[in-house]
Amino acid sequence: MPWTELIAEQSSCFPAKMAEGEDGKRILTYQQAIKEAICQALEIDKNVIILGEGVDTAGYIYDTTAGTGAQFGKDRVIETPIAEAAIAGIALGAAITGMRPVIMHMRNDFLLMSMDQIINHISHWQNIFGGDVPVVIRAIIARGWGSGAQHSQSFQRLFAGFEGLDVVMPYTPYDVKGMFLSAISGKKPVLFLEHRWLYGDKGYVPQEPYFSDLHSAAIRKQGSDVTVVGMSLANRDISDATASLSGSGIDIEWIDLRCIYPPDMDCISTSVKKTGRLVIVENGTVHNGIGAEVIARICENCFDSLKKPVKRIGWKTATVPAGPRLEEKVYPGADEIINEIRGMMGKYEFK
Amino acid sequence: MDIEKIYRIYDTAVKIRLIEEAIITEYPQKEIRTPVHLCVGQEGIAAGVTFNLSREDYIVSNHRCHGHCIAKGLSLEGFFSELYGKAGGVSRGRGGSMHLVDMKNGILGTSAIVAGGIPIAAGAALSLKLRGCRNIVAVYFGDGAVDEGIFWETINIASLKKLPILFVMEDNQYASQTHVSIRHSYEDICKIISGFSIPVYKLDGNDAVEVAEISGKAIANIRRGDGPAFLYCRTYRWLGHVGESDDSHTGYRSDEDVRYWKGLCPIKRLEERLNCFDPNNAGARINEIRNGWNRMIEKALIAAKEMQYALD
Repeated sequence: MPWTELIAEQSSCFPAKMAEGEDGKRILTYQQAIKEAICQALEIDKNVIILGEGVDTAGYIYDTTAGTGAQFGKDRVIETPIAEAAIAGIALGAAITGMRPVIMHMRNDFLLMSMDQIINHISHWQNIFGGDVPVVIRAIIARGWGSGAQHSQSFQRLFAGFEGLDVVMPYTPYDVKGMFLSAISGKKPVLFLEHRWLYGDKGYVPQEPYFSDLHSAAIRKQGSDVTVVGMSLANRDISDATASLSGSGIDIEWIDLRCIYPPDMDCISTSVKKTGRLVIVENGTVHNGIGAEVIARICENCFDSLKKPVKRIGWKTATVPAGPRLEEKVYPGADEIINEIRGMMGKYEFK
Repeated sequence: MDIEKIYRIYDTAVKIRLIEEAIITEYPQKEIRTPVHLCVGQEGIAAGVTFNLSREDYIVSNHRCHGHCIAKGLSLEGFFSELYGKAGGVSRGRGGSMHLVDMKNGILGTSAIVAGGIPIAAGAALSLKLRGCRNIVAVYFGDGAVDEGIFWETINIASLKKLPILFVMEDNQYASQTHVSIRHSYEDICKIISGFSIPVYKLDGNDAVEVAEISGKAIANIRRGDGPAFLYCRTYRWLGHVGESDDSHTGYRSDEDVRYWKGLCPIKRLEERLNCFDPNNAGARINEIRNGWNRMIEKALIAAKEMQYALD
């Protein structure tokens, strides 16, 4: 089993951003990191196959897999019709008979075409029938440039809550590589949600293959006053808010959820017990969001630790409009997070 | 076909029939608490196709899966235990009637979502092809499944990638209680499938020997690397869509229709053939086969009833 030789590495407190070349460490973009992870997976294990429309076509899937066909063979890098439902089922059938398939959705909106296979089949299979189901479903979230209602969605909440399906949203280049390698080498299906806007982010990425834990949140910054939980691109706003508030006397503890399902409640509870305040920044609208679940669990488990009512921050609509002035109003941004935190700390300043 | 081969086909077909009849007897006790979709009247297809499959070949089936899985070698005790929700069920009591599995015998699983198993079978076929195996996948589905988009997506991909898969369409003419004429704008699905460059074999699904002979040819071609084949089998469901009794009284089909198709019983036709070609021995051997399976079924039923319920 090729994967057992890899050394598992925890990244519970890894810096989100690292300046280029700092400490002489190797810096890659998020896009380069996922590409490297996919190539290494194909290299390490001949049972890894990748499937999707445009999977080996330059410019498609944001150039994260183009060229792999020449390197690893067209039989393992499989161009497919636009048939998301069948492809998901094919991945399942291949996985239960010994392969490790990765399927690709350039836009996560198209996941819904395959929802029957993902929920009714992939996520329940192991629980009904037993055995391993090592399927990785990559899907990329987009935003901006007038992408509109059907190309700007972020579907983590629709797929969270099925014990047979892990849902992860890596934020850093380090995580996107390590979590991908953990996902593809595991026994369970994983919905792997990347964000297009993270593709240019740079950070430390070791060259050799490594595993990042799929189920733990990462504390990106320790603090004592307020716990701010983010996911995927929402972390960037938290990062900016944290930077703006440094020196303000408000000490944020910033948690990157990383794993949407199952959520790392130990990490969040421990933090809330310390800070007594909780803000969750959703990559999506707040209604029925991941924050709703996390907050419910906090209320169940450590309600008495809360000093202030909890706060959710998210998109203003689920139907993202295309026009630039309309679209920019949808997303919350660092200022809204700062205002909420100041309000929560009793230091809200009316402008 | 050699008479011993016909006995083998009969052995499988009648085993399925007797198991389904045992369920019909037991079901009113309400101890089997899982919706059963019985295949009485359709046994010839599973028996005929499986005749050409090895243990290492795969099958994927649907909600009406008993016959396909039993033919492929599913353990009787494991099967009945699954129906009773017992710990020794083939799916550890988590699946019920519509979710049977036995990886050792190449039964990959069954889906209760119409057409849901079809792409999964294609994925297993892809896996066989990539691993350089000579094995094939047979996927069973009904005339309802071809109404689903995922069926057509999979047909296209299977042909495109030359996957080693046998599509077995069991046209029993009804999706639940809706007749095919209400659902299909086309007369002949075989013509459409041919358009995907897939060889199509149209046959009488109630003639198990014909199914065995023709699927044998199709499977040999698939094993050789020719890509998928499509078996269209016309048949009829004697009982209701779900449960142990006939639901014709609701008026969606006529008693004459049911009587007509019962006249074309696949088991009876196999027995007639055996009596015709082996008149001196057939009667005794048929009895022997039936009695043998009845004893096994009784034993398996007792074991399943006595077993602990699945608790975790």
